[in-house]
Amino acid sequence: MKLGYSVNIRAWYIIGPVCTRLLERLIGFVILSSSVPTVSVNGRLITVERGTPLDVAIKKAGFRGLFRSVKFGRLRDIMDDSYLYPQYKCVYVNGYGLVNPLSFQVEGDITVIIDRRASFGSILSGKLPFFGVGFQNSGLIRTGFGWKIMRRMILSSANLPKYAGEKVVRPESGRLTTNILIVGGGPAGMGLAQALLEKNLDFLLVDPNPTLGGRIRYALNFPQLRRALNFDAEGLAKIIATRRIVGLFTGLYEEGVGLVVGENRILRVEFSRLVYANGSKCPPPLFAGNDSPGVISVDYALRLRHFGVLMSPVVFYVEDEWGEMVYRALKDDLLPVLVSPLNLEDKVASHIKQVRLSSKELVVTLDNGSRVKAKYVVYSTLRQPNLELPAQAGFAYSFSAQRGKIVCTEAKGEPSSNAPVLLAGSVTGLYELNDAFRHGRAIGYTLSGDMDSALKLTPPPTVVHPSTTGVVHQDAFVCFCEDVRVRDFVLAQHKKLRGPEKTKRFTGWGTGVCQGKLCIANGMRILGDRPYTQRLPTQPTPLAWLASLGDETSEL
Amino acid sequence: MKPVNSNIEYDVAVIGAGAVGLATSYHLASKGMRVILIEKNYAGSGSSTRNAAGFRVHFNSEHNVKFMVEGRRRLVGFGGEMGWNPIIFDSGYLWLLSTEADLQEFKRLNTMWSSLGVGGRFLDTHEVREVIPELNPQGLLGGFYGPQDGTFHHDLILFGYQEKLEGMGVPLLESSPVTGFNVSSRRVRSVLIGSKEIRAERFVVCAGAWSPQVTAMLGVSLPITPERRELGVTEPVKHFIKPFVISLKNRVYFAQGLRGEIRGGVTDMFRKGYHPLVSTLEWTVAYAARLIKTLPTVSNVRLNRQWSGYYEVTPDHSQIMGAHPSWPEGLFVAAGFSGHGMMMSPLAGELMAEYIATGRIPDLMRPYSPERFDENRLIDEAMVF
Repeated sequence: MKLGYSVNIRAWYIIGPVCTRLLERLIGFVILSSSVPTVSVNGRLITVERGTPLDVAIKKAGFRGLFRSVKFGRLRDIMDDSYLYPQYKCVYVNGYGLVNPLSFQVEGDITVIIDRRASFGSILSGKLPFFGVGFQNSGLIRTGFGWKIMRRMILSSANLPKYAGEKVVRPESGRLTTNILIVGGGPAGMGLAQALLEKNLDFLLVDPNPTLGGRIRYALNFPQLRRALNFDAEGLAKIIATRRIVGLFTGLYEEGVGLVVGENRILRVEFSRLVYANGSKCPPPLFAGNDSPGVISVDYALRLRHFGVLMSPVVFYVEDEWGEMVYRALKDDLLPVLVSPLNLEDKVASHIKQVRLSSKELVVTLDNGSRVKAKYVVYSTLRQPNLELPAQAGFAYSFSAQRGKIVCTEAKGEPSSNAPVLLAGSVTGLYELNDAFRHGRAIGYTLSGDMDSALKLTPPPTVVHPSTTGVVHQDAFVCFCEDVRVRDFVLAQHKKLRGPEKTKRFTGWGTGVCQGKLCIANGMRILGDRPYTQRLPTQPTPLAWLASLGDETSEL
Repeated sequence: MKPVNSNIEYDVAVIGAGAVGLATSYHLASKGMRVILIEKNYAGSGSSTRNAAGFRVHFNSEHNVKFMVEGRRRLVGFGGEMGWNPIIFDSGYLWLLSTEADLQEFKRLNTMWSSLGVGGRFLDTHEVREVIPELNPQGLLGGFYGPQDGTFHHDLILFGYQEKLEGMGVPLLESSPVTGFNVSSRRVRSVLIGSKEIRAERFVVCAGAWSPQVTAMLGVSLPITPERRELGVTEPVKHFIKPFVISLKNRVYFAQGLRGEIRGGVTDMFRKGYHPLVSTLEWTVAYAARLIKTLPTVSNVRLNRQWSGYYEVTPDHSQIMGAHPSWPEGLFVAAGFSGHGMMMSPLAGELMAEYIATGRIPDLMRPYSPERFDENRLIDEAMVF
């Protein structure tokens, strides 16, 4: 008979990965578990006053937040989930799930204390409010008695939210029609909008952020970059304001219409041309411990600094010029340690091997063997572009081993590629900001038929970044939503389930709520292969919202 | 993948590495035959990985009931035989009945089902709501619960067969679309994959919805039409729906997987023909509305993924298994499962292998002969969802 095993999570970060592997091998599965994790900020819990932004944020995030942070047993108590959108950037707060850290002031750093206890019996009886099972692969393929126990546990899992946590919000639903629909309000989208304004063409621009500009929003603080971009982003944003929709483009359907989901409305948008200009985000890189609290993106670091809570000591991991720029802007203030594969003069090593959370700080092991203690690890990376385009839109991604990165191409001749879709900017976020802006403008002039102007802007943008290589740690996360690690990929290979589609189905890679935005590129890097087919919608959408678009609602 | 020498002869070449093709190959190889499996994309890429993964013994046709009573045993025993757990969840099927006519129809069917040892239970509205308290009781007359039915996980079935085949040294040629056949003296001699020629004694077409395209190369037309249907899954929520639910009134079906996701579709929206496997907004809106109508508490649950796939539909919604005297010799077909291929595959593969190895048609397989369409012996199957 196989036995389960419960682990006190306080010890988890110490015994960590080795223990999981060992236990999974010995007994088949590991239960990480138990009561609600306790998180304190500066040694005390945050008091929430009614009606404050935090109160509202907590109600909004609710248990969905909890689910997102603790799924199937592996803990991510404080997440920098840059892979979603800024409005979803969350930290975990005891009893409340994930809340938006920007909606309250955090004084000083955040300490995580996790106290969990569970007995095997209490889990079997289904009485524990919270537990998870590390069952992703090794558990699923088991048969017989071990599986019966596991099924029981999975079914009683309270990691998942209940179906009806909050009151149903009936969105405003509507239809919009436009000539050109631009998805994304970053440099490429704005460049395109500028050209279309010049040519008096009808368009609408969709972007989920209240402020337009994408990465330019941060650049506005930095005069040198703004000069380099050579355009007035703020002024342009004001002009575009009347032609924009605040919301997220969640997919192109067979009918040739798109769905846009906003804060409290859902729109069906019809268009004659669709231009994707939605660039990329920069989620965590692949090193062990990259899910530790305090490992954050440069964009997020800028935000924390804005609120005065980014604390020294900081380790910067920089793979691109944007990261370098942020590093230069913050270095006098924070005196950070710079780690980078780029040829930068103040760097100390080329890669981070591991980040480990000790009681109060992060211990960063570099590939030269040295160790640095830090409150935050700030990264900018080229590794995980945020792939937003479902294959249905007629696009394909491919992995260029030469360049070490994912490139997006139009999938010509595919049956679904008859949609009138264009790409502006880099899509994988690999262009410089000004190149993306220029490319957007060129697309705009092309659409207006002004090929001369378009041609002037079309010398190939400078895309080539040095590609980075590093040892991929077996315990690095590939996919957060479905809790897939590199070793799960290795197991799939051992099982002879090769190729992206089979690996996806074996591990669950990319099938979670982020819909592969976070992880497709990760997996492709490991497999050195094409990605699997992506599915709609690109952002999970409440059923009631979708239903509100149809006539059948009258029957409800 | 093993290198393939085109001079090597095989006993059987199986075309199509979906669930049926994999199962057929496995059972043929188990009988010691030299088998090669040919797939135009990757194993499972057609309809096998795109289905709702339910299994049931409750059909309109007695043949199909008998087939699945045995087929269910194969599914349940799969884990023990193959070492891969197909996550059988004996959740039962729950049909929500709203009209007297539906009720009478199920009563009639249940008499037949009971005589075959798989009778179910009729539930009144109160009992239905004991199973799922969240169901909308409006207009509900009652329900029929089939405890023998349930759900499983299709991918693990595919993985199990693939691992076994690999272990047995059966070559699986992926990304190898069939481009033609060589026929002489009314006998199929070899199959062509571009310039590659694979010779075999017999050829089994298990290419699902694409089977007519394959047999057309031999001048054989199969009465199989693809129907594009759509499916969706929500984000995971705490488990509260035990059975696989089919609402006849709202024309929607749904089930909750072990990972908490609610998956389902509508029963009456499909498009005939080889339409691209993309999603439609029309389906999305209809599914969301009907699901909420049946189960109002899921209003806040978010749709996470949606996709489409083909049902390989025959005129009588039942599979074609066997060979036809008018076909070139050596050609066999196991296709046209009309949406039930995944649950039937372990048994279908076994029966096909037995037939091909011995030349005798197993009793369970007899009704599905391709000759039934000429002889007007159609199977009366209307329970397709």
